[in-house]
Amino acid sequence: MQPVATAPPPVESTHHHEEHPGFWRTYVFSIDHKVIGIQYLMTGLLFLFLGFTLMLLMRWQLAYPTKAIPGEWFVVLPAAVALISAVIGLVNKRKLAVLVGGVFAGIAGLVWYMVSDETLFPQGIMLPELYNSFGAMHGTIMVFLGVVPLAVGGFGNYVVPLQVGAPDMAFPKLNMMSYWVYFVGGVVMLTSFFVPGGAANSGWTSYTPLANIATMGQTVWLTGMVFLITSSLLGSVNFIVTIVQLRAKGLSFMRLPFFVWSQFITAFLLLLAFPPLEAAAVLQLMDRLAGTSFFLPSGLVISGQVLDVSGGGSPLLWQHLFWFLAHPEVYVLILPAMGIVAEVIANNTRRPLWGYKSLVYAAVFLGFMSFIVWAHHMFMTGMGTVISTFFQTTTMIISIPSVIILTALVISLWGGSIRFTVPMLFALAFLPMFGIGGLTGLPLGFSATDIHLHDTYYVIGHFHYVVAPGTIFALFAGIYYWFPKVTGRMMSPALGKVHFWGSLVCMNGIFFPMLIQGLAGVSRRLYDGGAQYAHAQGVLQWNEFMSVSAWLLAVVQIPFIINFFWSVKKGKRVESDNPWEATTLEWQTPTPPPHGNFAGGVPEVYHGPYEYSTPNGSKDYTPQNVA
Amino acid sequence: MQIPYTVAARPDTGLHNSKLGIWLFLASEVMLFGALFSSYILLRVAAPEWPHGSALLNVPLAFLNTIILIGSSVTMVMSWASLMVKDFAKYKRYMGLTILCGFGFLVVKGFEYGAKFSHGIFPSEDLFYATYFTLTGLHGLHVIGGIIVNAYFWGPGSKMWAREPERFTNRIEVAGLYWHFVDLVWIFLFPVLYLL
Amino acid sequence: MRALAITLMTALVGTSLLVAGDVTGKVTFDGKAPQMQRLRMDADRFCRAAHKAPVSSEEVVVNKNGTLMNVLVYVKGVGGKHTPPKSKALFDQKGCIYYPHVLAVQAGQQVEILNSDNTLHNVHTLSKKNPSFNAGQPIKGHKLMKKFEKEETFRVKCDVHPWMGAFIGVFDHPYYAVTGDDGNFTIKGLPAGEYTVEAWHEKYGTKTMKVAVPKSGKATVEFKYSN
Repeated sequence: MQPVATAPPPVESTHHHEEHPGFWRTYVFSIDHKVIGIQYLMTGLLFLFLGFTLMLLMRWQLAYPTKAIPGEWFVVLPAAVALISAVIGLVNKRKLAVLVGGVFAGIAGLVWYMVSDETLFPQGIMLPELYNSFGAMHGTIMVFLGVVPLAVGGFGNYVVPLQVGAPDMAFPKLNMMSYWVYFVGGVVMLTSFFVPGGAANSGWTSYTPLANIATMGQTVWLTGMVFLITSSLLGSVNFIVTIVQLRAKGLSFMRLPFFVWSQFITAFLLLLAFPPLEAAAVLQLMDRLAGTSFFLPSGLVISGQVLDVSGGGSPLLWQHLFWFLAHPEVYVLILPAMGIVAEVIANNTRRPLWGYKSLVYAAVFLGFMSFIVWAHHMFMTGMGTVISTFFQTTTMIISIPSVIILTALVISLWGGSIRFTVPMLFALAFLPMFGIGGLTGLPLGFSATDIHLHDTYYVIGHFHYVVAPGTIFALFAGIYYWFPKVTGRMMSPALGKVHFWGSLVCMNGIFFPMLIQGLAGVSRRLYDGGAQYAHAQGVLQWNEFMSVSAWLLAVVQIPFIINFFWSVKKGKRVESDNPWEATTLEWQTPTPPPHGNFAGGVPEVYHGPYEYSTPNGSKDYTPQNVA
Repeated sequence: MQIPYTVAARPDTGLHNSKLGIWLFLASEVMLFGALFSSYILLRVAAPEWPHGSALLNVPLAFLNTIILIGSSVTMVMSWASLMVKDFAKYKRYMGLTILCGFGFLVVKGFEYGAKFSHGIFPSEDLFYATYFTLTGLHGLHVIGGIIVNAYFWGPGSKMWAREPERFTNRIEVAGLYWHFVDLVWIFLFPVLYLL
Repeated sequence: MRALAITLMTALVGTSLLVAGDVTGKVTFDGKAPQMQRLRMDADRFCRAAHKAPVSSEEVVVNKNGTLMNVLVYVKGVGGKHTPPKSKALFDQKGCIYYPHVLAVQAGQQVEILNSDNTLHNVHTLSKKNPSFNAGQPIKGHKLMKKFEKEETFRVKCDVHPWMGAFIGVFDHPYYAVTGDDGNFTIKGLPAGEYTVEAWHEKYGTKTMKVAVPKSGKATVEFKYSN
């Protein structure tokens, strides 16, 4: 699925004069933000699917710990998707679909290889060590290789330059490098499955001292993280400079679409929060490879032997450095999603967003606060009451901007002329789902109740509610919404509705019982899902229910995948460049936008971003660049 | 297709793109070294005993390195100033000096590390040396990066002067900002590691 | 030529066997057997259900005839290369107890670690000279095949069930035995000569005796432990 229907127009730049860049410069090593955005989108979706597959395997172990895994069924799904996308690709003559089919076939092959390996699945039962690896890699892949590249690299890259009226990102070559460094980081992470001892198995949080003494996969994980962090840092510089410097004439900050604001703040979070994790990764690598003891205390006893290291280190130091990033990271996960939902809601209510200024100030305040709440992940580390009170207070304060944003989005529906398009369905569902996610965060933010809930399934339920029927729903909304601008065709609404309702029901089926299990005290990261614990017996029956919901969720993604690839060539053609009748600048371009985005020169902006329900001749909206 | 404000400054911000870019990058570098310094503070405060850097490390050599780096920052500014007055030959000379100073720094560092290694002292020795090697090592990597960039601008990259002098001058300014930052980190590292 | 060599070798080996003796004996225990701690298996329903009668720690097992069980007896200072036996040594987990409590194997001999229980065990070797490992065995019938290459006696524990513990003694040579429920041991096939024989018990430590092994026949050695 390429962003240009024909060969791109000659590149006119000040550095070289290439009349017709070849295949590699156009589609692989492109410096056009739209191509790079698609690259991020496809790679991110593939990693999302891989992370999802790991969890589907884990859920068999949790539901049926004594039954051999029917490996064929877990191979059938990626194999089916591989077949679908390859066939569609061949029929429609789209190379990318065939390539994606190949990658899915690779995922199917990887699953088959692992499930058939007697040492990993003796008599078909997953080894505990493998379960731990899957758990750690599921988290890592979903957060760092799936959602963030999709939300920021994919949507951010494609849409932000268009929405600010720029011909491209400020640093196109740096943009390309960001993508390829991410790609290399992803490949490095994948290779960790094949090293002796398997992939990292100390959780996505890599707590020391366990991670220090873990198998080789942990070193590969750390190396992969260095690449991914570098990619994010380079990307965030690009985003900020683009938004500050390349705004079109008349586009003041308070006229920016909320999506751009959300990406702007996200970029600052990435820029300033990731380096401490990079430092921590360097320190852990030194511990693992150079024999230092940054995170190893003196006299640490492992397997009855005192560890022969210089000691004096602090395991808690890792936690502080890790969570200093990882808390802002969760706002990186949610802010772009809120941005997408805001765009879709404004467009499908035919009203301006309610409280635009509140939204912007709340989002900025959220970004700032996100740096001073991190130790609410560490309430159980023995901190004194002064510190825990501080972090508890800041955590309660940070819920205020989140609520403001959610409230503004909900009030934006009031009095609207709501069009229940597929993007709108996902955006609407985002609101209550994010609400549940946010509300379930409150008992975790209070240190007193966190004593009972820390490291239980309640935490897993809480954050999955925010990320899965929260962020991922927003990403789906974004895909259905911007698909016609990228391809000139609409995705099928019928298949979209099946995808939506199925996903909504199944996601609740997976994550709601986790809240129940967590309240009963079932710990997270348990290989047997709580079976060995007396206090868990009353809620164990939910394991099977959750697993079945997960497998059904997988099945219900198939209509989406079919829809996605089929519609690229065979979807209903759009009648105009602006099929959703939207006000923002990305819709005031040719479809798809050419190299340089605005064919007739960069636009001038005269209004705010959501001039809906304004009298404008036969239209009920006024685009930003129309006087 | 031209990206606006690559060379000329944007009126309302007063910046050209790469200047804003480098300041943002330097902000992230502040966070990186800040995290390392914070870790050092945490570990040192918690330690029952911690040696004085002056007892274990070569202070005169490090002082020499400080002079070298500060000098290289001066020559870096001079190379940019030479371009501002359109004197390309002077630019080459000053940039060459900056690169030489960079190498000089690395050579001195090499002596320091070598002396430690030959006495069997490695990062695994204790936390003091772990911190010393890691902090100076990461700083050294940043010096190497800076040398590579400066060497590119002294050599093949300097061809841009003929075609786009203003853009090239901006590039040197931006590289200079990075180089000053590397110098600044050392100015913090030196007293913290060697003197305190 | 080849046939001649084979015949000569057989003759040599045969004669060496003929000029080999055995070391036999028993390990006695003097005094009252100490009260052993009862193992509480409440944490795992399967383990608890596997035993009708209460189970005690096997740290000190004194047999009815006043001898000590689970004593590792071995010859010290035996040089030369000894090929490990082809047979597998079985290290089993039944009812959440290790069988045998003390296992003696030769370096390079295949050890089959078997989980005969319908519950998760995690075998964790606390060896220093041999690479230590800890591996999960989730299901009944799960087999882990391992080899130990260095001479060492080390403890094995289960990371799931804290009361489980056993010992494995690895030797470079085949001259070792473990006392059973009669307190006796036999070490066969030692070439004639003077040897130091050592007995090791997990609580009472080592005792050393010297023995002269005749060209054929038995040499007897008795180890005395007491409370």
